[in-house]
Amino acid sequence: MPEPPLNNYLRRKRKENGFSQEEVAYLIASGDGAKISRYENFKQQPNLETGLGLAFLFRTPTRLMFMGVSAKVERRIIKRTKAMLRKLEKTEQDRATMHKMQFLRSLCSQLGQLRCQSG
Amino acid sequence: MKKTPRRVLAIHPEHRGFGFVVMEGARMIVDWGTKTDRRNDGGCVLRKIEKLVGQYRPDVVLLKERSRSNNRRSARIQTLCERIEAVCCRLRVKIHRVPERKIEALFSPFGETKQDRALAVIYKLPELRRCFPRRPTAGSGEDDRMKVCDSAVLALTFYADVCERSSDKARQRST
Repeated sequence: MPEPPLNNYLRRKRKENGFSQEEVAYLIASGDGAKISRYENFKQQPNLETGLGLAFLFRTPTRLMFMGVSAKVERRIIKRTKAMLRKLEKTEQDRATMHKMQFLRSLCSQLGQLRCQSG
Repeated sequence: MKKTPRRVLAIHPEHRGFGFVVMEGARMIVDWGTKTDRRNDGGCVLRKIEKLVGQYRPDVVLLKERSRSNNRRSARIQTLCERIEAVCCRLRVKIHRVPERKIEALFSPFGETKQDRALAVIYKLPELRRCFPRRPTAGSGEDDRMKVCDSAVLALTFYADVCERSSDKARQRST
């Protein structure tokens, strides 16, 4: 199994553009350089506002900037989607349920993860 | 089946500290920099390397191949490399020594001097453009940033070698 992606690629983007941690903290108006250091060393996760700010600042999609976190969230959602699909398959198949199942299946196949379990 | 290493940490130790790069594939550089060993005892270097390995969890740590007896690399650096190997063994990370001949084979078309190699590195990894070392003058030591370029050389040689080996295997399979 390949090594999972890093939580974020913030340090790469910052160094590539020649900014110091203090400068980045100033630009996104969030804490100080020490806080950016904690994000870069994967000791703390930025909140939504800070995360979006960092992605906007370095003109990188949030998903790519926080690849490891994103992968972790995706895995968790896929796992739960499959569980919910299994549960729904056992319930009465009314219109609403069918719609939900269709949505969940398309979500899974979109992420290239689902081996469709419906019989 | 043997997996292709994805993330590598290339380390280039020198008389005062070391340069490093972390790469995920031949074109994706994740982190780079130099660390200085103020006490000059090696312990500080090992601690910093341990921290880097813990942070990035590389598949492989790259060092330059043990030199032949006529090589100018000092005994202290060679001992340090052995200590780095021991640390990596303890952390269960693979070590790969990149041979000088492979580096030469890859970078000789760009020129003979280290400056030429650094230029080739910047060409391949433009993110490192701020690490381009100044040209050494008489009486001045080598620029610290050369350590980063040297470690990038190790990583690029390693990936080129991995690519070559996998394409060889593919060719063998097709024939």
